[in-house]
Amino acid sequence: MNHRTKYRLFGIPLSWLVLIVFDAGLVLMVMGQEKRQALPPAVVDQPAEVNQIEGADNISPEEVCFAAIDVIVDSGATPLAAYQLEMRSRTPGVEIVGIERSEHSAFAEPPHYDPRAMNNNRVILAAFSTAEDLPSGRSRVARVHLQLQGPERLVFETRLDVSATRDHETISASLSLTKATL
Amino acid sequence: MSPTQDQESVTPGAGVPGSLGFRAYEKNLTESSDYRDFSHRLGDELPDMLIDVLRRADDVPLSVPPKVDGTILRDAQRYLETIPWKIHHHRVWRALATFSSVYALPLVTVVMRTGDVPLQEFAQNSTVSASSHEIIAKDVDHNGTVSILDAYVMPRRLQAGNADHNWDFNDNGALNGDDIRLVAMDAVML
Repeated sequence: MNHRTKYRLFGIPLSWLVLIVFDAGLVLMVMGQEKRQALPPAVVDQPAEVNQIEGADNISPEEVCFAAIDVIVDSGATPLAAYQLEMRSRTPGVEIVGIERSEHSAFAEPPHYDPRAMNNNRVILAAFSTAEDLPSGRSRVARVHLQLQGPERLVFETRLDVSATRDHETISASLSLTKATL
Repeated sequence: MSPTQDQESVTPGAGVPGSLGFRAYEKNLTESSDYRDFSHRLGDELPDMLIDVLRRADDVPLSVPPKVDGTILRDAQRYLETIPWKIHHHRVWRALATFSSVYALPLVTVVMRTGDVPLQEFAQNSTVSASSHEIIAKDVDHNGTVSILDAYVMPRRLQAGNADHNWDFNDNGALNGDDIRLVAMDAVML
């Protein structure tokens, strides 16, 4: 038998097959190691919730107006020391134009946000407080000022990424949006 | 003078220094006037018929019978099989090239993947200019994500006196509220 036809499987030399299998094993091993080294997620990925708010009254579809919505976090009986949330408008023509601080003295400063959120439809808000007196129950953590176009209902996707106690423990809190009364 | 006498007159020992190599000897030989005379006369003395036959022989295509061809091939194979290294050395090189190329892929993969680990460790322990490294460095609680909790950890650790000196993210030589704000800002970046 010619040496060229020896030890072939499906027309591929056996030595090549052995090498290919070996390579595949190495790659899988490396990928497995990488997965094992992966750090656990810090922020539990919460599913986004949809919040609907009434739009502006008595304006035409082309007309532009301003409105404000209150961002409420309900931490129940547990004092809220830190939060991070994300909100995004699904309604066309809605732009964020301002962020106002919480009503509670523990969060006297406006929350942290990316300045690129201005004139955008999406923002991430985050704040923490080291004060002794922390809000609990339903608390307005921020007020978001919006520019709207037309009377359409406002639909927001919201997600509470972080809500933590003074001891750095996660709270099972809820997030909601309401139309602000100015 | 006869051609034989001409050839004898340009022997290597005659007029060619012994220190010169074969090339120099050959050059001297072909450039000598005796050699040129000999070549010229040799051409003149060949019979015209022979010259004509030799010239025409160049125009006739050479044909080797398949049987002769096969015999030569078999003889060559038999000869080459007696020296296995020479016949197989190109296969050895080919096999080496194949091994190298096949091993290159996992090797590169391993190097690139394992290269990430020291990079992460470096980023966690120092402030570097690349933004992705900075974000990893700002993962103060080492849970894989930069969130407001990372910023929240810092003042407590500062108050407790066990802050990490690598948290000087703005490189101003002091750990203060500005460094905490940088972490918080990273958490809210769109």
